[in-house]
Amino acid sequence: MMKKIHFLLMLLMLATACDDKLDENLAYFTPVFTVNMPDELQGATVTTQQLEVKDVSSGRKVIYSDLSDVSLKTGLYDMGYEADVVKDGITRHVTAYVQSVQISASSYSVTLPAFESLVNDDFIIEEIFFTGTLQTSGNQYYGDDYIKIYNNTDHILYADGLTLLESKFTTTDKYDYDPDIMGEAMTVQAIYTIPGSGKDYPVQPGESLILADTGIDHKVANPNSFDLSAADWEWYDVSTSASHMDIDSPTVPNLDKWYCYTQSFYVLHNRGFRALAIARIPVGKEEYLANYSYTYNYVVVNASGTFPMTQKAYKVPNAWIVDAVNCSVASEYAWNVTAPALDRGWTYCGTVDHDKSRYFHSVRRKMLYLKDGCPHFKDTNNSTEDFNPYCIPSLIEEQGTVIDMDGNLCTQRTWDGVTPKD
Amino acid sequence: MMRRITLLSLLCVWLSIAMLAQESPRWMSLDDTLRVDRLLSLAWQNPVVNQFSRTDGISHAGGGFSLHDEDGETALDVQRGNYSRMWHLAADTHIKHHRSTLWGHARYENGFTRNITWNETSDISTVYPYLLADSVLSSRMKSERYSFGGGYADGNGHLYWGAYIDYTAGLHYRNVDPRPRNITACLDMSAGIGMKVSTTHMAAVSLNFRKYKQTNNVAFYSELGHDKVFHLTGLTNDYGRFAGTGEATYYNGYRWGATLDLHPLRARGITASVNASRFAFDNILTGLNKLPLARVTHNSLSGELGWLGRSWGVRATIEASRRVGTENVFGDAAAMVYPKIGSNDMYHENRFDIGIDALWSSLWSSSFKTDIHPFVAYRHLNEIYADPQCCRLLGEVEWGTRLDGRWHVGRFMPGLALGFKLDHPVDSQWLASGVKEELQGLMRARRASYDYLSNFHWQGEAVFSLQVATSSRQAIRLMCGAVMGCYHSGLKTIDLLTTINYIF
Repeated sequence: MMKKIHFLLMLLMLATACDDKLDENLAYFTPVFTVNMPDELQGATVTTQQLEVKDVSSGRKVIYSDLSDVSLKTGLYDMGYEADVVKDGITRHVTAYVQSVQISASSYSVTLPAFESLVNDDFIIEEIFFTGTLQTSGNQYYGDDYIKIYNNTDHILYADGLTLLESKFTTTDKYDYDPDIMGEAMTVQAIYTIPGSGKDYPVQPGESLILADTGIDHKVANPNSFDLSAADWEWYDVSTSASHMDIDSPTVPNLDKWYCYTQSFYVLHNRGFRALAIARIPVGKEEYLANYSYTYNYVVVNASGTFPMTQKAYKVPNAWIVDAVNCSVASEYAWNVTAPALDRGWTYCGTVDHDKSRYFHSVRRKMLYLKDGCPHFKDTNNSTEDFNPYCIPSLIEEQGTVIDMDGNLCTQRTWDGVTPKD
Repeated sequence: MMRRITLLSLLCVWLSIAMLAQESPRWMSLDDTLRVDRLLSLAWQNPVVNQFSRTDGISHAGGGFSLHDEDGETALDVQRGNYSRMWHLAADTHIKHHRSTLWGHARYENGFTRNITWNETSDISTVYPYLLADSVLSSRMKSERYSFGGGYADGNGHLYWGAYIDYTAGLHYRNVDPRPRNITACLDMSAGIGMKVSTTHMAAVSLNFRKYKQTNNVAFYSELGHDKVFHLTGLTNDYGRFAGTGEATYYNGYRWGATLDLHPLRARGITASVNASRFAFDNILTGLNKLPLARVTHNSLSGELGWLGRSWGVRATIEASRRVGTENVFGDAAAMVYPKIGSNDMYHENRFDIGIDALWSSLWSSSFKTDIHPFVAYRHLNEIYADPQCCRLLGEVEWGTRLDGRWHVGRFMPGLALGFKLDHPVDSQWLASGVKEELQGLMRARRASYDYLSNFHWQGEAVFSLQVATSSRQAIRLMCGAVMGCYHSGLKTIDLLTTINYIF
């Protein structure tokens, strides 16, 4: 009998001994990192550094302060690198961002092309309200989207010539566009410019401009919306479709339309699948339109077959771009449609395509501190870090209008959608 | 509707054939609890051995209703819901003619399950842990399931052979958002050959094959958008890259197995069976150019060793299985094509069950019979997710007994069965690291389920049956049963089953 009991116990021990152990199932690799410093910082000494590694498959992020500690399983990774470096006794800050790094037994070398983070001495995009509002019937209302531009510097800026851009490519569909010019320019499909001779529209430090879709009091047509009749500018389109006419507000001046892809009227993508940017274009409209077109090829593969495509758009050199913000939704995000030097992150309203909770929300730049009663906003060219996603729009806060389809009124007042004003 | 008519026609034809083909057993022998070899389970999976499961022919046709309900803060397993109601029509027959045996069955089920969360697939015990899921506490998931099959076995001299084929198809759907539409299909086939190895025993071997497929399509009709769909990958993790997309998926798999049996020819003596199988399936996202998200391999080895006496039997069972989930890693997509760049074995599940049970039948008089069925088992389950590290380990000793009494009073045979099962956890571990914010709800539900199972729990069972003879070879049997379970934190479960069968 004792022998049988021993046999059974042995069997149980054997069975449990065969169990998998938590740390014995995966092979991990230690990547070999090469940080390529910009030419002017060659030979600089790294004092502090941080690497954020995002596993694209799982969506999880891990932050390392020592590159030799990084240990990764086979996978696809996005990596963001930041470091303080000292050269000639001066501390400078560099960043690098690489997407879609493949790590496997045969591929574990990672090159991080670092560039120096420079202080932006021009306007920034403070807020984008692209989702729109809902009518009392539950249907989407169009026309009350807007973009807020902010003077984050300590001196007067002139809005004359400041140009609003919308990317041609979406952050949700990635193709191998040929030629690939993203390192040098942004491919755009909408270009609207603030007119002026150079010093016609001064903006004081801590002040903002509102570029609206339609500068009217939208509450008249939709009680769930708000008043945009005091906006600074609106983008107005002369529509070729009689059934889809734009409204030209009598109280808000129009932006100078250089180009827009649509034959009717332009609205922001209401799920936020594109990048928006502001730029200062140093050439005239005619010269620009004549010399900055971009023809590109790509291949669409679907169940029906393989289709080579050729399309045309306009390009804006990265050097002209003052600020850029990529928007997307987590479920559909594929890539950034601007160079990492312009924006190496992205922000959002809603997490899935057609997210029904996105309406009445905007993305708002994070406030760092208050100076003389004015907010100073974060600007590290990383929209993931710089923006508060999914916020109540600032104009809804100011006007105390509706924040959802149930008609609830906004009672909060914040600097950035999160930090209260009180 | 056409399917139901077809099925009912099939049942009628089956019924007629069975009635014509039957010999004339006395109605007393319609009590199929008289044999102690019903203790066995693995042995009957071999079609060669199955011809010895009865010495006479018998057929059933009937229907029933079942209900499962839970009363607790969290469901025992939220992925299976906490309330279900099903009704069914079924018929089966076992026909003996000299050494030939023909058997078959057909069944139709219809009903619904309520409050399923974190799961939009069906047949979860087949396709886990790779599940299409969302966080919505859903309303009724309606289900229809059809199954039919049959087999034939025969012998000549010292040789025996047999084969069977079974097919089960299911349709599972919901009419409010989120609206899954799952179609399941499972085809099982087996064929074997045996040989008389002594005057009392035969040895048999069989090969079996399964083809399994499930297609899923979750739709949202709300004009304002929809909730996020996740591709769960085991314990508290998901394939984050494709979360919110890939609402159409399918599972496609095959199982191969073999059994080896030693079985008594006259239901007396030693019996032994061993089964080994390998089941592998792929989880594929249809909408992303048929992206193969993961592959699961499930290897299983089970054995059954018993002794069958005239009025008693005893057996020992053992089963060990290992399931590995291999997740593919894809490179940067271009034109919606995701190149595969590698794979990782992320999910591991080891199961090990060992048990002993016995059946003792006593004929106290010509009109009163009792069965007692005690059992004791050790069950071990260890689930691991490699990165981020997660673990669920459950080990328990389960024991209980079932007492069944039947009386023959004229044309009537009332019966009452009472049973209990106690589960004593002896080993448990829970680890959930790196759980995403959006999967916290899943983590809480799985943790609650772990708490239920890692603490002492028990089940009690009561079944009343009444068999009424309508002639010397026909009877009607009515059965009502209830199983109540009690778990940690006051969770109570109840399962009710009522059936009525015409036996002939």
